[in-house]
Amino acid sequence: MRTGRRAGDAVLPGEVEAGDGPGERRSRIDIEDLHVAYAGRTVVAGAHLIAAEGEITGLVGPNGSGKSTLLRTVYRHLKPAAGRVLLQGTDIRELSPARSARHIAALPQERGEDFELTVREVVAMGRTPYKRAFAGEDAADRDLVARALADVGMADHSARRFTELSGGERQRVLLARAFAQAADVLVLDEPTNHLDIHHQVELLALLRGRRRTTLVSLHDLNAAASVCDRLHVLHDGRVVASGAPRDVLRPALLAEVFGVRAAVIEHPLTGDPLIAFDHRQNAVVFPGTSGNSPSGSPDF
Amino acid sequence: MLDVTVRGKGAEAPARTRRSVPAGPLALLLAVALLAALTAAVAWGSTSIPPGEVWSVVWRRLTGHAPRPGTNDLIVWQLRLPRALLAALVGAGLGLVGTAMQALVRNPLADPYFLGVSNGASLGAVAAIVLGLGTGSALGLGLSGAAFAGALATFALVWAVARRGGGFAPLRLVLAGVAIGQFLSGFTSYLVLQAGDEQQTHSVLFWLMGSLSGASWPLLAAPAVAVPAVLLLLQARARGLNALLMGDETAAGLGVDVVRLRRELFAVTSLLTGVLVAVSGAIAFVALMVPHVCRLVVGGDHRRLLPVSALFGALLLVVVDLVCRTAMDTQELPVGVVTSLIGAPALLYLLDRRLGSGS
Repeated sequence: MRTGRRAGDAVLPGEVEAGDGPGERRSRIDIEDLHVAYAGRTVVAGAHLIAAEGEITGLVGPNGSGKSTLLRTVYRHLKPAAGRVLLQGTDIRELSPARSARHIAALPQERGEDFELTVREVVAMGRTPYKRAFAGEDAADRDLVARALADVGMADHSARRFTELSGGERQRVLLARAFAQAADVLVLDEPTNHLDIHHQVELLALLRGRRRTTLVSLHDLNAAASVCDRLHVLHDGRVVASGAPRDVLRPALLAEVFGVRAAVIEHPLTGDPLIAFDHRQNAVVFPGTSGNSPSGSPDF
Repeated sequence: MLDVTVRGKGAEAPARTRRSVPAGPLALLLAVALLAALTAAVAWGSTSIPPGEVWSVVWRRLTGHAPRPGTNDLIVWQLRLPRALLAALVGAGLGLVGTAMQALVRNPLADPYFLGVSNGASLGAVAAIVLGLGTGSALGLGLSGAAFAGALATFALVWAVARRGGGFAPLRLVLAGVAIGQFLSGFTSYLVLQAGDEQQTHSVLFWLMGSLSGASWPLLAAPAVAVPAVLLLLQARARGLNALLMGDETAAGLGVDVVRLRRELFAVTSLLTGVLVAVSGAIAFVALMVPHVCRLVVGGDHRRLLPVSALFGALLLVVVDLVCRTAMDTQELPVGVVTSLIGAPALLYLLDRRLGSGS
C-alpha cells in the first residue's frame, strides 16, 4: 500500500510533519452524531462522545448495543452513514487511511490465521502506516519494535510463532503491535475478553501505564469502573449516559440498560465503585422505558 | 477454543521458536539451483548434450553469431530451452498466484482453483480442441487464446458475483469462485464426452492435466511479461498482504485500504492464472504447495515469502518437467500428473502437521 503523504491530506493542528516519532503527542477524539449501519441494520444511531487527551475512555453496554461497531468506525474498518469522527478537530475521512493509522492504533477482536508469523513479525506490522512500498525496516523501526516488545514483557519471545501463544500472551503481543504503531490514540475492542483474571489485570495495567488517549470497550463493568477516567454507556446505538464511573454506574442505570439488579458499594481496597450484582434475581428487570427497545433483554 | 490459561503454563511448554533461514542467501542458493536445473533440463533428453555446448549455443544465439555447424543448435534453441524457460516462468507464476491467493482469502490452503479461473480457462481450451478452432501448427496459440478468453470471462463473472455486497469478503470470493468453477467444469466434462475421436480426447486430457509440451518462443511472451510484473506489484503490496493475514479489521487499523487491496489482488491473481493456464494447462498443487513449503522455511512475511516462492516454484517445475520428459522412454508424462503425485502426499503431511500442532 502506498503510505506516503498524499496531495490533499489535511494537516492536523500542532502536528509535527517530519519524524512522526513516538513523542508525547496527545490527541482528542470527538464523535459527533454518528450513525453506522452494519449488515443492513443501523447499529449506531446518533452517538455523541468525547475521548479526551491522555484519558482512558470506556464504552460499556449490553451485547449488540453498538460498541464494536462504533469502534470499527473510529479505526476506519466501517464508514459512517452520517455524522463524523474527529481527530483533533479534523474529520478522519479527510485523511488517507495510512495517515489516520499513524494517529489511531487499533486492537480489534481478531485472532489471525496460522501463517507462520513470528511474534516479532506481528509487532513489526505496527510500522505499516509509515512505510512506502519496497521500504525495508530502518534502525528507528527496529528500535520501536524492540521497545514495544519489552514494554509488554515479550522481548524473550520474539522468535516464537504467534499462533502458539496463550490467550494472554497473544493480547500482549497485539498491544505491542499497537504500541509500535506509535499512535497517539489507542482503540481497543474488548481487550480482556477470554483472559483469566490475572491477565485481565495485567493488560489493563499496561494500558493505564501508557497514558495515551484510549478508547476501550469493556464487558466487565467493575474493570471499567476502576481503569476508566470516563465512561460512556451505549444502549441501542445511542450514548445514554456519560461521566465519571461513579456518576454513571448507578443501580437505576444498571437496571435500565442491562436489566439487572445490583448494589454499588465502595471497593474496600481501592475505593473505586464496586458493583455487586444480584445473580439470584428471579426475573430479568424490564424497565420498559427505553422507547424503541424490543431487544431490552440482555443476553446474559 | 478456550483461551483461559494457567499462569506459568507458557513457561513449561517447549517454546518452539521459528528457525529463521535468512532469505537473502536462500534466494541466492535457489537462483543458482534454478540455473543449474535449467542447464540440466536443456542438456538431458533423448539426445544428451554436454552442458558446455548448451551454454555455447545460448551464447552464440544471444550475441547474434551464426550457429556452429554440427552442434545441437536446433534442439537447444528451438525445443528444449523454450520449454525449460516456460517451466520456470509457469512455476514462478504459480508460486506467486498461490501466495497472493492465500493472503487474499486468508486461508493457507487456498489455490487458484478457488477463483474458478482455471476452470474457465480449461473450458475455453477444451472448447477450442473439440470444436476444432485451431488445427495443426496454429493449435498451440489458438488454444492459448481460447484458454485466456475463458479465464477472462470467468474472472468477470466471479468479480460481478463477489463484489455484490461491496466487500470482496474472503468467504464470498471462495464460494463464488468454487461454485462458478464447478459449473464450468461440468461444461468441460460434457465437451470431453462429445469429443469426436480418440485423438481429440487424448489431447484434451493431456491439456487438462497440465503440460508444457506446447512450449515455443512466441508462447513465452505473455508469461515473460506477466510474471515479473506481478512479482513487482505484489512486492510493493507486501506489508498490506501481511496485514491481511491478521484480519480485515486489523489491516484497516494499520491504514491499509482493504477493499482496494483485495480488488487489486483478485484482478492480478485472476489475470496471471489466466496467462499461466493458457500456456500450460491446469497444473495441480504447485500454487498450493510452493508458498506453504516456503513459509515453513522463511516464515510468513511476504517481503521474503514472495521472491522465495517465485524462485522455488520455478525450480520445482523445471525439475518436475525434466522428470516428465525423461522418466519413460516411449512417451512423456503430463507435468500435472507428477505434481499431483508429489503434491497430494505433501499436502496430507502438512495438514497433519497443522492439525497436530493444535492451532
